[in-house]
Amino acid sequence: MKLRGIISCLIFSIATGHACDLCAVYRASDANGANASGFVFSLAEQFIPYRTVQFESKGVSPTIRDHLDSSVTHFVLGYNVTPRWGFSLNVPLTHLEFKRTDFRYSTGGPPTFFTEEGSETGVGDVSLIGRATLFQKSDMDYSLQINLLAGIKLPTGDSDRLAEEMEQTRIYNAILPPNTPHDPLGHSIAAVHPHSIALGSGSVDGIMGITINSRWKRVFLNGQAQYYLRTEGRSDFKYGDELMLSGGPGVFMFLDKSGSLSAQANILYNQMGRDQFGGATSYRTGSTAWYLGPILNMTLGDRFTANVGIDLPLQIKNGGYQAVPDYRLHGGASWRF
Amino acid sequence: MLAGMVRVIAAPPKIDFIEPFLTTQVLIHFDTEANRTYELQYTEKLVNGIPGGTWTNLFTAPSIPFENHYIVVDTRLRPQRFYRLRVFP
Repeated sequence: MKLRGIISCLIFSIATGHACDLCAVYRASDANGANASGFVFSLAEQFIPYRTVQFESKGVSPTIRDHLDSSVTHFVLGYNVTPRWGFSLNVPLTHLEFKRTDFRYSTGGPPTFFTEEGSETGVGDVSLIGRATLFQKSDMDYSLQINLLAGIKLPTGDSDRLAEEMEQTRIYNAILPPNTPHDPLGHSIAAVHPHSIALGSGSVDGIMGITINSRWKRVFLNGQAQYYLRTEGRSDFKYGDELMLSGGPGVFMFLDKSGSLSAQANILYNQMGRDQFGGATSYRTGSTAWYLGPILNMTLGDRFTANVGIDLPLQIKNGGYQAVPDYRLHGGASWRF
Repeated sequence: MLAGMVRVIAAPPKIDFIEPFLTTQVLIHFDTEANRTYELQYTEKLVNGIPGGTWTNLFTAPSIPFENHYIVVDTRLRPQRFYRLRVFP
């Protein structure tokens, strides 16, 4: 029975592919395994270098090269009220290093060409997530578990950069002839925009997801779906909704009462909707991407889990001119009290 | 057997239009092609009846990998100004 508990715990842990909000929150519940109540603390990190520049899904080699390196560390405190439901508080700490070149429009003179190189660091948008186990069946040779997650993301992160973006859109709108069709980002030549380096979305957003974890002996198959429902926030800026689907097969390479080590092949589909601001949809935003990569997961005893993985892009399609991920590196650890 | 090379001739630079803006300014509109640098210049002199003398850079649109439309704000408090658009390469 002890071994079955370890396996259940692992199955939960392996399901986490990325350090996005819901992944990090979900990880908080992992270390509790299938049948444990109490507190869990998780730390999850995701690093993404956006150094590939694409225009309308095609790679380009511009003379002016923008980039963004994004590091988000999630601190998650979770509490399982009962084995079947619990909740978690996710506090992300975001560090963004970037270089961007653009024009700054004004109504008083020609646009000013500038290059901005720096960083933004601070607490991002805090989220509160609830988890309910819809189905759970576990035996020595097999297990199946389905969890539903839903929550809310609050605008606690600094969103001043959105105001900067909107100010430029308003000025550009003012100097365009009336009723001229144009993109809200028509003023910009940058591949990294102010809304890409905002620490917070400025909006109250909905988060929902479902995870399915299955195992037969030492082989497992996991999948998860997440949806981020964005609302209009500060400065009338609305980020596009986001959909993430991920999962894949895995195998336990080592497994006994002291711990375990497993590997999973994870495929990830990420769809970012187009942003809306300035009274219009920006067709210079939004993307769909496919990634593939391994995830390694380990446990020590029945209280500690850790994992690390990388997502390598298979295909990224984007609207307009954007810096897109070179790869996505993620890892995390959870401790059950 | 014939061998050949196609040389793409880019469209000549063109100022689309100039319009008054607010009480003391004008707006100069022009489109740019991908991967070319544009310089918007002005002069305030007429030489033999045509704009000449020293041309001053008002605005430079750098080479970027996509087409774009620029709107440049300039003063109209001077007695006269003539504009031209240059492209490189």
